Amino acid sequence: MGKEELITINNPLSPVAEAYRTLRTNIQFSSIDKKVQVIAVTSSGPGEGKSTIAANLAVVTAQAGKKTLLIDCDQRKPRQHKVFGLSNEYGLSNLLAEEASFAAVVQKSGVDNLLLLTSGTKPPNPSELLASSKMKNFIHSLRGQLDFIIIDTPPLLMVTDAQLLSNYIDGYILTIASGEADREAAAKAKELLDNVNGKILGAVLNKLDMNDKGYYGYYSHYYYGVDGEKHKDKSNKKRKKRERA
Amino acid sequence: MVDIHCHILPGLDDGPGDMDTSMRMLENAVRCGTKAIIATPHYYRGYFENGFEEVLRNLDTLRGAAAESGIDIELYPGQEVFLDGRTVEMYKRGDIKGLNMSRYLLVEMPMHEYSDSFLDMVYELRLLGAVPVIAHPERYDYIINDVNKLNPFIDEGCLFQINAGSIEGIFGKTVQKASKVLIENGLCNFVASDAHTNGRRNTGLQEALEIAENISRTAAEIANGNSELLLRDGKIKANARISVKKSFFSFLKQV
Repeated sequence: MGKEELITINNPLSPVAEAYRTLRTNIQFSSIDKKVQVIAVTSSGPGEGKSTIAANLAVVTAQAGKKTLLIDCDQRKPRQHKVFGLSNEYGLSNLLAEEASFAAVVQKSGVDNLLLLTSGTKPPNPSELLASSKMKNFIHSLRGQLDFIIIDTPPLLMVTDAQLLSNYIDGYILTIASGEADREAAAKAKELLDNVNGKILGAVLNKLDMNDKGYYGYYSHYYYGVDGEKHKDKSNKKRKKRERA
Repeated sequence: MVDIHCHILPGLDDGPGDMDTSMRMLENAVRCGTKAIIATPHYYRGYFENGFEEVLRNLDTLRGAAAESGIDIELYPGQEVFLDGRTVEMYKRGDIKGLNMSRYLLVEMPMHEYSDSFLDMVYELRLLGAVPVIAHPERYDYIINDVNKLNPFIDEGCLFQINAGSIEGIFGKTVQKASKVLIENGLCNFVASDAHTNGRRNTGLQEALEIAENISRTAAEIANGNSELLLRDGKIKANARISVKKSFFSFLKQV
């Protein structure tokens, strides 16, 4: 794990990177009625790729010129500092414990327009911190300063943390790993979000094997490069597709 | 031979109590073929807090005494740092430095209790450019029970230093077997004395290196070479992940 996960930086012309831009566009279009500014990326279980998705989504949003902040809210198994190769000495938990100001803990990600707030020192009470009014006020204060806030959360079926955000975010993106995620687990995850009136913006189907014969087979081998020419796809076979939940 | 881990400075920690003992330890080292020693007093918060400046001062004194006694051996500064919540901060401040001021930082963890936070600290140290060298992993309970637990440390680019005494068997058969497994699996980046006295934990490296050679000639050669490289802050090859059958260790418990 690490910087190699940022395919939107390492291989921006690949179909996978393109899929992230599609995801970005789809999210924009889902906010016709109400502005979608603060989004949480979650999953039913661990290992479904939500951190990778949150990171890359944040990158393409920033690349589109939006002032973006990626917050790592997974206080138990934080990953974003490793994805971007940054220190996790101070982060969200330190901010909420009033040990440091936002300006002191937020970091430049290395990508223009993208800031990163890592998880910070592991607190003894992660759920309490996320449910606190301090957190709610903090997120609220960011709305005036930034265009997009993307939050990486722990899996829904492991801890309650992701649910606790529903009070102050605009919607959830549910990551589902194709072939791995239990159908029942995914349904349960949706149920948990429904329980807190969490708005599900949509789901991302991850790790879809494009070598399977079928509808998507055609798209997997070629892509149109910046030069307008058809190129054979040599990048990794992960695909993303947004579906309405 | 270069000894990268040695409590040779008198009166700073649980090593030699006086200069005389240090001199005897140096003489033993020379007899056993050691040509250079990196002095590594503990930096162990709450017990022995030997900042780098203090190490340098004491080293000067030791060098003087060795020269006066006609002991022909090179001496360099270092520390053995017990990893805790302030390690990163102290490294940034320069109270803690790498061995001979190189990128290689000698660190130790508790013998019995493991915590994932050690990995977090190692990650932060790596970000600062340090390469952690983990002291005597063969002595840690959680490693003896499952050597594969070293993999996350390997992923973070850690190197491993095995104690001569462990290889010789002074800490018992279990630790000795664990050393053997590490050597066989290419995880013996350094062999050092971790000498504290002239008794069991002495400054001799020769015997251990011979035993290591019998287990794996390549491993022993590499370990020797690495110690020389470290002294010059040279680049040392990283470790590859391992996969050791856990059932092997249930055998160990019967030993």
